[in-house]
Amino acid sequence: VPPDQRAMMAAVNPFKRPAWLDEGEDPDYRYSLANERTFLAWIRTALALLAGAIAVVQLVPEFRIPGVRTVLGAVLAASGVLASGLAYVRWAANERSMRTGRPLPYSGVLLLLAVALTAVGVAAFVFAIVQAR
Amino acid sequence: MSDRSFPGTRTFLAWRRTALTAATFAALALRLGLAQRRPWDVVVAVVAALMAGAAFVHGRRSADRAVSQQSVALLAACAVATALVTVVALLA
Repeated sequence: VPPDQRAMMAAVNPFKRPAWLDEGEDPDYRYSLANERTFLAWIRTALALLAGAIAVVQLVPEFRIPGVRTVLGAVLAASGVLASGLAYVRWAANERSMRTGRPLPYSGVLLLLAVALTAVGVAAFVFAIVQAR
Repeated sequence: MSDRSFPGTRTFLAWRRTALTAATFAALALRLGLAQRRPWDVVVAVVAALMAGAAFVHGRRSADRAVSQQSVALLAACAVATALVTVVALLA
């Protein structure tokens, strides 16, 4: 493999040691472990959202309004994709901030996820009531 | 301070919980896939089972120290793959 191509492959390789790991100082190991546990909690949340999407689409009976099940499942699945993708981004951003002594970054994704799940919950409640009447 | 500190143990248990959650998700997808003859659900189950295996293996390091960036990236990649395959399975 030519050197320039090898360098490009290394740049896009997510498993390569990132340069920011050499910045600043190693934080207290307890904070690193807490950050790692938060990352794992996001991964578990993503799995729960995906399981909810599968359950809504495949196990819940069709509502009177066609397509509602699919929309609810799609919102849950999209939330799962978002949560799993951003888990690593958030972990890396927090780790980098701790290394350089900066404040932890704010993420608007929390609000986005909260809004999406509230919308799914309200919609499921309303359609369940309508279905029961 | 002992190598096997309480924060390390808590993190080790968090990795184990994640592995268990992924395995449970894999079982759910496999059960539904076999019952309803949906091959994409079986693919979801296989990817989720790989994710459970990765979390199980890499979590062992947390009892002593924080795991490497590669372990976190690997689990994140498995989670994204599981999520994308699940979306494909739902659309199929």
